[in-house]
This record gives sequence, structure tokens and C-alpha cells, in this order.
Amino acid sequence: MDRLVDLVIAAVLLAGLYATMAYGLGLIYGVLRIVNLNHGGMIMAGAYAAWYLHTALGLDPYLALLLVSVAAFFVGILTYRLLVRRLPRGAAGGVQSLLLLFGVWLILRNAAYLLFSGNDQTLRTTYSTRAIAIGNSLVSLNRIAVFGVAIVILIVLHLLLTRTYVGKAIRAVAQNPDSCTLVGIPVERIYALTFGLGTALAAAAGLLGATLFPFNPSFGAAELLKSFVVVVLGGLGSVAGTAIAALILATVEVFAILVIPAYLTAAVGFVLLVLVLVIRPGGLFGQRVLG
Amino acid sequence: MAAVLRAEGLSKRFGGLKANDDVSLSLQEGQILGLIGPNGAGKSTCFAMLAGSIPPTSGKIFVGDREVTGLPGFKVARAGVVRTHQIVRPFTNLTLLENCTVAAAQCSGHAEAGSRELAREMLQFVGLDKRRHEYPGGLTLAGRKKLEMARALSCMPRALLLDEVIAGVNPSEARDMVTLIRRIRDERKISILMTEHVMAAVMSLCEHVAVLEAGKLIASGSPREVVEDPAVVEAYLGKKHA
Amino acid sequence: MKGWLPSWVRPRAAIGLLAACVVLALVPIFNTAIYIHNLLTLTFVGIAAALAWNWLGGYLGQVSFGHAAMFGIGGFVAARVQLSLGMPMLLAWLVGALVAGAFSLVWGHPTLRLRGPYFSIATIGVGEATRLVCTYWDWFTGGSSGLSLPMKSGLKYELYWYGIVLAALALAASYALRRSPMGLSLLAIKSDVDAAGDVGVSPTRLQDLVLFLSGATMGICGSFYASFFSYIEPGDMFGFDRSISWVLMGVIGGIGTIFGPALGAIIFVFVKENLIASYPQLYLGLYGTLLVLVILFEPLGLTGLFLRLVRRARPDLSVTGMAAED
Repeated sequence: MDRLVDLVIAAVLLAGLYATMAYGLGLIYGVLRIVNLNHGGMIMAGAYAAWYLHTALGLDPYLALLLVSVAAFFVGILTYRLLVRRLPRGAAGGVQSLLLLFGVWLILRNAAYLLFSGNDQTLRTTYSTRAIAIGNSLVSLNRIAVFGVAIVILIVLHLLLTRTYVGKAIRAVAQNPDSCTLVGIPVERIYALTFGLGTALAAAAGLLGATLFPFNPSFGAAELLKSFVVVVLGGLGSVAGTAIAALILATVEVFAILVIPAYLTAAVGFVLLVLVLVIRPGGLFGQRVLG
Repeated sequence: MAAVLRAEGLSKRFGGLKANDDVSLSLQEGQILGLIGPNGAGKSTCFAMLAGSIPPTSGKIFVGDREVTGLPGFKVARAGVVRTHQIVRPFTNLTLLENCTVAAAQCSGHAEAGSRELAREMLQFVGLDKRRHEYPGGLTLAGRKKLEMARALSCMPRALLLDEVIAGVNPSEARDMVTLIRRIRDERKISILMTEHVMAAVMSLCEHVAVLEAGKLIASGSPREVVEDPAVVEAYLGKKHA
Repeated sequence: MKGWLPSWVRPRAAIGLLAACVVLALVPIFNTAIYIHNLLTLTFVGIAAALAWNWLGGYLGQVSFGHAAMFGIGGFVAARVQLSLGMPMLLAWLVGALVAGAFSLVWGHPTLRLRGPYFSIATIGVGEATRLVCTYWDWFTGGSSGLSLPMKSGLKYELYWYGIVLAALALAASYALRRSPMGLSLLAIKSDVDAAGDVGVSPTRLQDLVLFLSGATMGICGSFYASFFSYIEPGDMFGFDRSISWVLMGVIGGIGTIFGPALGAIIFVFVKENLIASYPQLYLGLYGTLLVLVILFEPLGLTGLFLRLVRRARPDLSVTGMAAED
């Protein structure tokens, strides 16, 4: 029974990270109709940024969060302005944008390899090993912190999208970009902004993940797929949907440990992804509205 | 003689919405049949079912004596019923000739060289032969609609289903289309079922018209009869004018 | 000559391929450097694999990031039947190919309903899941320590000529899949699968055929690889990096063209060999940059560049395909 509680807590805490991770991918797809294959790359970049700031400058990752996110935001805008903008949007550009962003991911991977070597890195802070008791379970402080930060990020996102002008503009562009130009919304700017936001979220998730797991330059493929599972399961845009889907994925993964060896749990996510994609025929990314 | 294409009691449900309710119609040999109705009447759904693009929830479809209910589009095409699309869908990566050759080879079962000749003949028929080595991207909308028709004709169908081919082109192009449609029936002996909004075309081309409203067939007869039918007038214009 | 070739084969192409094979077969007489000999053999496998990838990724437009799954399955099946059943090498290759082909149908048939990016993402999932499961499956793959085949003296040297045949067959198949009437149907499916159905093209049958051919060829390449190195391990055979390499070869060489991916493979193998000593990981960044440049400026990659040059030099030479036969 205790074990069960342990697993449930682990699943919930992990879900927070997954939700943040997935939201960035979903946001970019929902608004630009582009699958950001550099999502994994930015997660990896966020992890390395956090690690570097901590190792070189002693900056605590949670304090570095804002800095890394903002930097990633501008990287995203730059990526959009320099590269993505040149591609046709929608179905026509589908595979092309995929390959383009994939190329960027390869470049980032290589850069990380050259800068930091291919070895696994871990982010160990003074409090990394501390744990607190919740009921009968001992829970790592890091996991709780990650969960807390993830919740805050998601709430902020929700408020941004529903209460601010920019947020509403983003949702409008997601629905109907042509009409938006008619009412004076700067669609290209919104695209750039959204791409930046999605990238920032990916980097933030990477930073948070770095406090929990070891990583190396090849990090990211698994995270990309998990994000995809969450986005497909949870539908686009709705924070609640993303949260629930993240919870489902995290639960399946965590409980799978009971049945299969640890390193195969990643395969669970992949198989789930393929199954979900195949069983939900036709309109996967339906015309859901952000909100 | 069996009708070329016949629908019996076709119904289609989308979740809670009944898009088509017990629709029966038949396309006779050598006939041009018009399928009309106000917006949302279910014409596109009915059309799609006849072409095999979507399966009916209930009801049957026959091509001649053979039942084709629920068969996928490509089998319906090979059975002799070929459709065009309201929003034209040419193969943009193939030339005009190649567009039609694919259809000729796959649908009519012609051997390889034969299919190219057939394709060229159909392009000549619609007047696009000179541009056969160009790509669809270089054509006007009317040109692309003609390409779709040539491509459909390359299938050597018994029945041609035209999805709003006249709408969206300018009046002189529309007149060309009407002539072309008539020639398809007269010269190539192909029966035609067309959904259309442009009433003038329907009136001048169709011998028989079926009217749908809210998923049901509300009238069927010659254009003259149908236009004067109070139920039809009400469907289009509302109760006051009936 | 024209009598027994199908009408869509240009005699010049057939002769050219044959001539290239003969020339390559004779090269070892003049070249005694084992290093180059082996490099060429690997290039031949690379060509076959890249072309096989292109049938799905280029001709059908469904880009796969998980083709290493079939490569690995082919390799390990062939190794396993040679080790456990003492099967002769070529038969083992055939078995490897068939199993790999069947596997590609199992995951590919339902997944091809997905279009574009969704299919591609699913292939990442397939590739990685296969890698993890097979790494865990000790009997099949030997776990992380892999499988060793008994070293047959002289085999590695002989495989050079097997490689020529493999690459030649793949090139012939590439040519056929594109220039035959079926090639038109494939292009139609790539352009608009529903409209293709509306004019009588059976999408599933053709897609399944390409899927099987692509997977089976990958399987043979994996089997060849196993025989060549006499040792294979799942992390490498099923690796994401390996899947990526064919995407790079295909796109940079010229996705959807008949020969482009072969060109990409040749360059890829030679560049990798030269970089591997000094900057082992650099090739990823290099290719990533090339990929970005290709997508932005020349969608047909090196083949596209080549065609542009040809057109500039001989502007009258613009007539191809059906126009040429008119």
C-alpha cells in the first residue's frame, strides 16, 4: 500500500514536468501548425544552460529559470525569423518544417557535444539529496520543487492566454490567421512570439528536468515523443487537457516499473505514442481552440 | 433497363446529426441529373456517398446491377462512377498528361501505352491538349476544373459525378463548361449527375432534377416541375413565398 | 535489346548501370588498398539503404526517422539463424529481409494512414521502441553485448562484389519504382491520396508494397552489415543516429529523385570516414547545417543543384518523362 502511495505521488510530480514540456510543443503546433522537431534540442539546451550556470557561476537552477527561459524565448524568435518564416505554412510545409527544425536540433546537439563532451551530466545542488516526508512516503525535495514550478508556469500560461491581449491574439491566430489580419492583429509577430514562447517552455522544462535526471547531448528524443503523446492525448491548448494527459502518461510510466525493467519504461511512452496515433484516426489535431 | 447509378434509402448520420434521411434517386442511361437544394441540405453528403468517399449509415447504392454500397472510392471509380471535386484537387506534381494517364491506367485497366493515348484523347476533348506537358499550377481555375473533368473522363466511366463545376468561374467560362458537359453526354455517352448552385446551368442542362432539403428528398422531376413545386420554393425562399 | 526491356526503361540507363557495375567490379585489380576496398563495400550498402529509405520518404513523401528498426531486425535475424541454425549466409540474408519487410508492414500499414509530420513522429517512436525492446531481448540480440558471427577468412573481401550487386539492384528498383506506370500512381498518392483513390488508384496496396520493399531492403543491408563486421550490437544497429543518417543522405542527396540518395550516401560515407578520426561528432552539425540549407534553398538537394547547372549549360535539355516520348 505504501508502495502504491509512493508511485502515485511520483506520477503526479512527474506529470507536472511532462505537462510543461508538452505545452511548448502544443502551443507551436496549435498556432503555427508546425511540429517543432527542435523541441528535444531546446529541452537539452535548457538542461545544459542550467548545468553550466550552476557549475560555472554557482547559480541555483530555480533562480536561473527566468534567465534561461528569457534567453530561450529570444532564441525561439530568432529561429522563427531566420528560418521557419521562409517555409510555406500548413500542410504544404509539413515535412519541410519538420526537417528544417530537425537540422537545427542536430546543430544544437553537435554544439553541446563540442562544448560539454558527450558524457552524462548531472545537476547536483546542495539540497539535491534532501527529501521530505509526505505521509509515509519520502519524497525528494527536487521533485516537489519541479512540480511546484511547473504548476506556477502552467497557471501563468493559462492567465496569459485568457486574460491578456497578447494571449487572446494568439488564440485568434490559432483559429483563423486570415481573419486576424483583417482586424489588425500582426500575425507574423504573433507567430514569432508563439515560437519564442514554445521554445522558452521547452528550455524551462529542460532546466527542471536537469535537476531530476542525468542528461547528455543526445537527450531529447524521448522527451520529444513524450511531449507528443501528451499533446495528442490531451488535445491542443487546453491546460487542463494537457495536465490530464500528462498525468496519464506519467502514471502509465511509473506503474510500468512494476511489470518491466526500468530502462524499458521509456519504450512504454513510445509504444503509447504509436498506439495513440494509430487508434485516433483522422483528426488528431482537430480545430481545438487555445484557452 | 437498370439505371446506371441508383441509390435506395440512403441515410447518413454524423453523431447526432442526420445529414441524409432516406434519399432515393436514380440516374438513367444517357441522362443529366441535377441534385440541388439550399445550403446545408445534405447535397455534398449524398454526393460523397454516391462516389464512395464516405460510407452510408444505411441504404444501398447500385451501379447497374451491381451493388457498391460501402465500397471505398477507388473501387467505385473502377466500377464506373467517377467524381470531380468542388475544390479542385489536381496532382500538382504531375503534368496534365500524367494526371490523366494515372486515371486511365488505374481505372480503365488499359495497358501502358494505351492509357497515355486515352489520356491525350481526353485532354483534346476538353481543349487542354496543347498544354499537356505543363503542370496544373500554371492553369486558371477554369483550366483546372477542365483538367479534373479530363482526368475523370480518362477513367472511361459510365457515370460522371460533377461537384459544383460551374460555380466560381466567370460567365463566359461557365458557358464553355455547360457546352462541355453537354458534349460529354452527347458524344461520349456518359451519364451525368451534377450538384450545382448556379440555377441557370441546372435549368439548361438537366432533364431531371432532385431537390434535397434538411437531408430529405422533397421533390423530383423535370426542372420546370421542380421550380414551380411549392415545397421547393418554400425550401429556398421561406414560407411567405410558397 | 529493346525487345526484352519494358518500354519505360531507357536503354541508355540500363547500359550505364551495367557499365558502372563492370568498372567497379574490376577496380580491385588496380587498387590493392584494403582500406579503400572496404570503404567502397560500405558505400555500396549505404547506397542500397539510402535508396530504400527514399522509396518511402521520397517517392511516397512519408519521411521515416525509424528505419534502423528494419536494419537491426534484418541484421540480427540473419545473425541468429546463422548462429543457431547454421544457415548459409545468403539464405540468412533472405530470411532477414523477409522478417524485416514483414515487420515494416506490421507497424507501417496502420501508421501510413497518418500524413506527413505525424507519420514521421510515429516512426521515431517505432525506431526507439524497437531498439529498447530488442536490447532487452537477450536471446535475439545478445543484449548490450551483441552477437558475434564466426569470422570467415576472405569473406569481408568478397563482400565487395556482393555489395555491387546489392547497390545495382537497389538502383534498378529505384529506377523502376519511379519510371514505371506504378511510379505515376505513387506520385499521385504522394500528391493527394484521396484524389488518387477517386481516380481508381488503390492507395493501401501500393503503399504496402513500397513499405515492404523498403523494409526488406533495409533488412538485407543489416544482414550484409552483420556479415561484414562479424559483430553487431543493438545500440548501434537500432540507433537513432543510424536512422538519422538515411534521412540526411536522402534529403541532402535529393529526396524523391532516383539517384540523389545514392549520391548522398557516397558523400556521407566518405565524409564520415574522414572526420571520424579528428572530429567524431562534427558530422552531425555539418549535416544539420546542410539539411537546413537544403530545405531553405534547394529542396532537391545536390541533385537539384546538379539539375540547375545542367539547365544553365544546356537550356534546350528541359524535356523529360512523357514529353520526351511524345
